[in-house]
Parts: sequence; C-alpha cells; structure tokens
Amino acid sequence: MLTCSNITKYIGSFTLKDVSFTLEPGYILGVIGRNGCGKSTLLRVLLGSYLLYDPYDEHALHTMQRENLKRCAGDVLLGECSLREQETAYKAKLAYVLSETPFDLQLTAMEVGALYGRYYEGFLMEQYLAYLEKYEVPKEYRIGKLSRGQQIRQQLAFARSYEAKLYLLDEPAANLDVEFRADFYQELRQIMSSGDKYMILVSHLVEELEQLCDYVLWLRQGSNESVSEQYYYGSVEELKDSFCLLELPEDKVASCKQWIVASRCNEVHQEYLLNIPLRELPDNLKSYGRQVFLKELMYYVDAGRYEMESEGKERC
Amino acid sequence: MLKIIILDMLLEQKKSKGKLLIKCLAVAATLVLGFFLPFPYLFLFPLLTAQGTSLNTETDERQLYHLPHIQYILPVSRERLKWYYIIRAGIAALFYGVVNLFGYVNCYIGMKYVYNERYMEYRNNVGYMADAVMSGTALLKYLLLACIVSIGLFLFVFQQKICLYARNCQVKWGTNTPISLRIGGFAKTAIFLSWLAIGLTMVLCASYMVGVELIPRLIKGIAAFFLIFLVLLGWMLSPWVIYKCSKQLLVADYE
Repeated sequence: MLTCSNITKYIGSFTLKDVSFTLEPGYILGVIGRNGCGKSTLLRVLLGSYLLYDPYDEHALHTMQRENLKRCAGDVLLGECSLREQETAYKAKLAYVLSETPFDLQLTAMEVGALYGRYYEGFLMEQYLAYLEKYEVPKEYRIGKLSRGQQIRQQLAFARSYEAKLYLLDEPAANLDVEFRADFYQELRQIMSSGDKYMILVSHLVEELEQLCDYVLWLRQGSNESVSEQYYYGSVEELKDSFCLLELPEDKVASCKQWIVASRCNEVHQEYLLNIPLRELPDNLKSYGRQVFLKELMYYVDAGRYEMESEGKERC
Repeated sequence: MLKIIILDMLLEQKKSKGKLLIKCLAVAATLVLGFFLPFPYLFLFPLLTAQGTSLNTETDERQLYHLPHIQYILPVSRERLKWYYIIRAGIAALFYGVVNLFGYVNCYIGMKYVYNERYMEYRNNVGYMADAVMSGTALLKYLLLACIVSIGLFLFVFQQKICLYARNCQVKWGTNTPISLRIGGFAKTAIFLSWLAIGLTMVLCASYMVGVELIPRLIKGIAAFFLIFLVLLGWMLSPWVIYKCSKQLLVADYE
C-alpha cells in the first residue's frame, strides 16, 4: 500500500496543504489541476527531494521557524518503508520519468546507466542498453544533445532496468506526438501489468490520463490563490459516474431542474451538468444525455461554474 | 581612498618623494589585498556556489523548482550527500583558487611593469621592447607570464571539458561518488571578471613591451579601477559568504 499522509509544503508564498491519499498496488493515480496548483511540487515531495518533518514535532517546527526555513511536513509510506524515517531505502524503490531530465546533460546515455545504475539494486546494464536500443535512443549521445522525446525514452529505459515499486511521472508526454504518446502509454501499462507496482502520473493531458488512470487526485486553489488543497481523491469512474451532461432543448429543462448544477449556454448550444448518474436519469431524458468527461468536469469547476465541495470532502 | 590613491598614482605625471612613498604603500596594499583575496573565496565562496552542505535552503528550493537534479533523487543518505557536496566544493575551491592564483600572479607582474614607467623615462624613451630583449631577466619574466596566462586560459576555456573528463574517469574507475564539477554561475562570472582584469593588465604590459603608449591613460585608469573594484567586491562579499555558509552548516548540523 502507498500511503501519503498530510503532505504540506511551503514554497515562497505558495502552500500545498494537507494532501493525503492511499493507493493500492497495481493502480495508477493521475494528479490533475490547473497550472501552479502544486502537482509537480507534490511529485517532488514523493521523489524525496525535500526533508520531511513530523507536523506534530514541535521541536523540529520551532527550529525551522527560527532558521526561517520553509517546511515540508507529512510522510509517505511505501509498503512498510517511510520516506521520513528510511529515506534511502524509500528512494531505492523509486523510478522516475520527468519532463525535465534529472540526469546530467553532459553525460552520454550509456554513462548515465554506468554511473547512476549502481545506486539501484538489481539494475541491469545489459537490460538498460537493450531498452535504449528498443526505444531508439543513441547511447553514445550526450543527454543534452538528445531530443525531448529521446530524453523521456532514455529515462523510461533507465526506470525499466531495475525493480522499482513506485513509478513517478511528471508530464512525460507533454508536447510529444500522438504516436509517441500511444507507445509510451502502452509501455506504462506493461510496467503495471505485474500488479505489484504503483504509478503516479502528473499531466495536463486529462483525456489521456482519464484513459490510463484508475484514480485521480485533483488539486485546486480555493479562494486564497496561494493555498492549494486536495479537492478530490477517488476513482476516475466513480467521479465521472456521479455526473452526466445533457444537451437539452429549453422546453425539457424544467423536467430535470432539480439535478442541474451548472450550465454552458449560448444561442446554438445548451449544455447542462447534472449531479445524477446517467443510468438513473428518467427515460425521456436519457437520449439527450451522455457521460461527462473529466476535462469537462474540470472546466465547470475551474471556471467557477460549479463547486462540488460536499462530494469532494466526503471522498477525501 | 585606496582607489583614489592608485588612480592618482597611475595618472599623475609629476612625482615627488612623498607621493612616491604613498605610491609604495598603495602598491603594497594592493598586492597584499590581491594575494589574500582568493583565500576567503578559496574556502567559503565555492561552498556557497556548490550549494553548500544543506539541502533544504531556499536557494536549493529555487533550483529544485526548475529542475530536480539527480543528486536529490538518488538513494543516497543525506550524510553521504553532505560529504559529496563538501568534496565537490573542495574541488571547485581548488580549481577556482588555482585559476585565481594565476590571475593574481599576472596582476602582480603587470602592476610591477606599470610602476616601472618612471624607470623607463630614464631611458630617454628608448623602446622598452629593445630593452626587454636585451635584458635576459625581463625576457624570462615575460615568458613566464605568457606561460602562466596560457595555462590559466586553457583552464578557463576548457573547464567544462576538464570536468567532463574527470566525470568520465569516475565512470571508468567505478567509484561510488557521483561527481559533478560544474562550478556555479556566480563563480564562473567571478572567474570571468578576474580574467577580464588580467586581460586589461596584459594590455598595459604589452604597451610597455613595445615601448609605445598604445592605450590612453583613461583606459589605464579604468583598468586600475576595475582591479580595485574586484578587490573591494571580494572583501565586501566575504562576511555575507561567511554568514550564508555558517547558516547552511547550522542547518546541516540540525539535519
């Protein structure tokens, strides 16, 4: 089980507050939200980039405050392994594919494997080289000279060359072509096929994330723009099933008024968001309805047209 | 004050005994400052540029905000990582110190010839080049200067290549410490400024070598000002550097 409890991170005036979730092995979690809502910050916390403090340890907090240092509190448990208590052991179980490669740009793809592979138990250099070949990454090229797609594939080759437990991906497919993305997601599915791994994916490509992920963690700034909180955590299907979209003629609106929570109307198009599952709609309305897509739901919420506060809080 | 004295010294035509004394004092002060300047940097400045020993400072966070670097992700204990930073800082310090030392030797030799102006006047404007060629000692000095400058320039221009080579050696030797010898941008700028100062000194030297006033006195003034500026900047930055480093070490202790 992967358990993330009460993660709070301060960066300048921005605060990512109280993020908690639990993920079972074999599932993929997608992290969504607007720009600047703390998705990548959360990922960096999970990567172990920051020192974590016990939010209830008064001495630690006092020392940090005295030194005017920004705090990161909470803990992440990967199985029995705590990021706060056993940082090295925790990090040894991580694999990562980040939008900006963390590897040294001056090293060649092969040198990266030789230099950094030794830190991961069971890293197989032959396997890494085979993956580089499979993904068509020139092993003699410096990382800095590789294209973005190649850098992502090189990271994927590295990640697949040892037995990791938790895969962390930060916008891996952004700005890449459709074919690459399809192949990439196929690779991710293959990684998860063993059923004993966890994957957390941060992305703006909500449509694709919706197809790939089992769970979704939605981060959102409230009225205070500098504080971002967990808005929803739960199954993607469950979230989508709670709502439906209707494109209705005006004379039919009255019959479903009690479920309408938001609308988007103009002269030619009237669209209503209803907080009722599609299957529970009255028969005379079903032909007008369809299941809502995650990106549409995000639009309604982020545009301030709908606030699913009660549902979100319950699921959290 | 020192700046005014030295500018005055460089630009002034008429020289009295009193002024000669001031000149000597100013030269001594400049040289002392010049030679001692690298030391605070040698031990403390690279510590800062190499991100110090702490992993939780705001500076680090800003860097992480843009790019999480492999060192922070690798399964390496914080203690070991701290030593890695100290070793890296040490290597950077050594590198920076060596380059700076070459620079200050250059400055010393350059300054020496700048102050030989009066001596040259006794030669009734005989071309200094001829004098230098005839004088074996002077020629040796210039050869030495050229060697030092060449080595320094080589280190400066090829620093990335040297670092890369060192890292490749690490890969080949199979040591467990990831080595990144990249010197911080700030240190690079400082090295660049040092070399700019050295270059200006060289121009001054060259003008005397050929025995012709190739450059106007204004430029000589600017060059001198620049040298003094660097010295003062170094001393002004020192307390700040010490403060930052001690703070970081404090945090490291806490960790």
